[in-house]
Amino acid sequence: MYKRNTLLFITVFILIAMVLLIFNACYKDYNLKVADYDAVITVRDEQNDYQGYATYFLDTDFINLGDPSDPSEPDNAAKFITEIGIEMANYGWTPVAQGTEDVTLRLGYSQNDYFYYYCDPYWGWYYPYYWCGYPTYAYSGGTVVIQMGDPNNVDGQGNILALWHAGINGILNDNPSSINKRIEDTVAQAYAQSPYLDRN
Amino acid sequence: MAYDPIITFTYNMAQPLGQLQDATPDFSWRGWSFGYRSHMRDHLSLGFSFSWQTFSELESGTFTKGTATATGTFIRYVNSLPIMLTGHVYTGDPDGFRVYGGIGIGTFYIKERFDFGLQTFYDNHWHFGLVPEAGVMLPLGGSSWDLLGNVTYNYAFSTKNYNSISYVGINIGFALLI
Repeated sequence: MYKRNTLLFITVFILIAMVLLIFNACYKDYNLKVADYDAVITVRDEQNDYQGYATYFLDTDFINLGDPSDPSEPDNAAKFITEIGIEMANYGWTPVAQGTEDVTLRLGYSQNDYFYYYCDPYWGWYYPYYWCGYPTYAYSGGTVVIQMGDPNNVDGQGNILALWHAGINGILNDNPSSINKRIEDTVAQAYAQSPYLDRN
Repeated sequence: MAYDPIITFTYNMAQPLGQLQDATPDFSWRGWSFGYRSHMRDHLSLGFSFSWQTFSELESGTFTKGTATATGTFIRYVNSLPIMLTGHVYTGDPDGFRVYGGIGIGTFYIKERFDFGLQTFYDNHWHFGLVPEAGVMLPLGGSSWDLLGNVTYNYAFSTKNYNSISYVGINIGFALLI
């Protein structure tokens, strides 16, 4: 038989390990690629069938959503503007001069730093002294927002009726060719999941 | 013969059921348990157990709800940690092959995490639950160790804000008679 002190030590050790582990958890690492983290969200106006609109004006000045007074632009502003123009043309919209449009497109952006607390799926699982909790690496994430509004439909407070929102979010730490491809794909996806915008 | 206290360690696998299976349908290969049993009578023990089972599911695609549509990679994680007071009844003697049955009564701590792209959402909650169990113990030679195998049915009752969670566990490990 084992000495009771040894077994008491084993029991206490396991209980301490349980306390440490209970408030962390093992999360399976699916080995996602950078592009797998791209997300596209669109929101439509439930009351609108979008049939009364055909022309648009794209305001190419990006608004910094974290600091609207900041006049700076995101690194890939030109690429986003190009792709939005392509998708609007594909859907049969005609760009016009400001002041004559049916709808206005406004652009916004933000950038956040993400700290990833890595939990090695082997060590964090079987060896409690390698538990999750220390930051392993950080990366920057960016969000671009496209908002479509009706400048001819303004409420009493001067607010323009918002017809459509698109938000695109992803990792910025990537090589230029990959970022360009991802911008093409995510802007295309924003329009692909918004077939009600198709004028054709 | 002496009916000594028992410490149990098992590696756990699990098949999600019901609403948990709807959220995370894959078989779980990631779980473990620790338990302690003290004999009140020759064939009856009372004790406690801690367990931990993880479930996860990755899905990519486009989903629409109401006026919103989202495209991306979604990952759902469910960590189930049952903390139980247990009672077990045994056949046979400690020196030989034994079959036992028992039940755990206690609480489930559920840690949920939902990833969508770069965004992560957490939700943790507690449930009252039961864990009926049936298993076998096989002594290893003349040592204090037994091979241990059991099947458990883990059921966390629904609460006002959360659905019930259930899964079947298949566990193998060791029992140490101390």
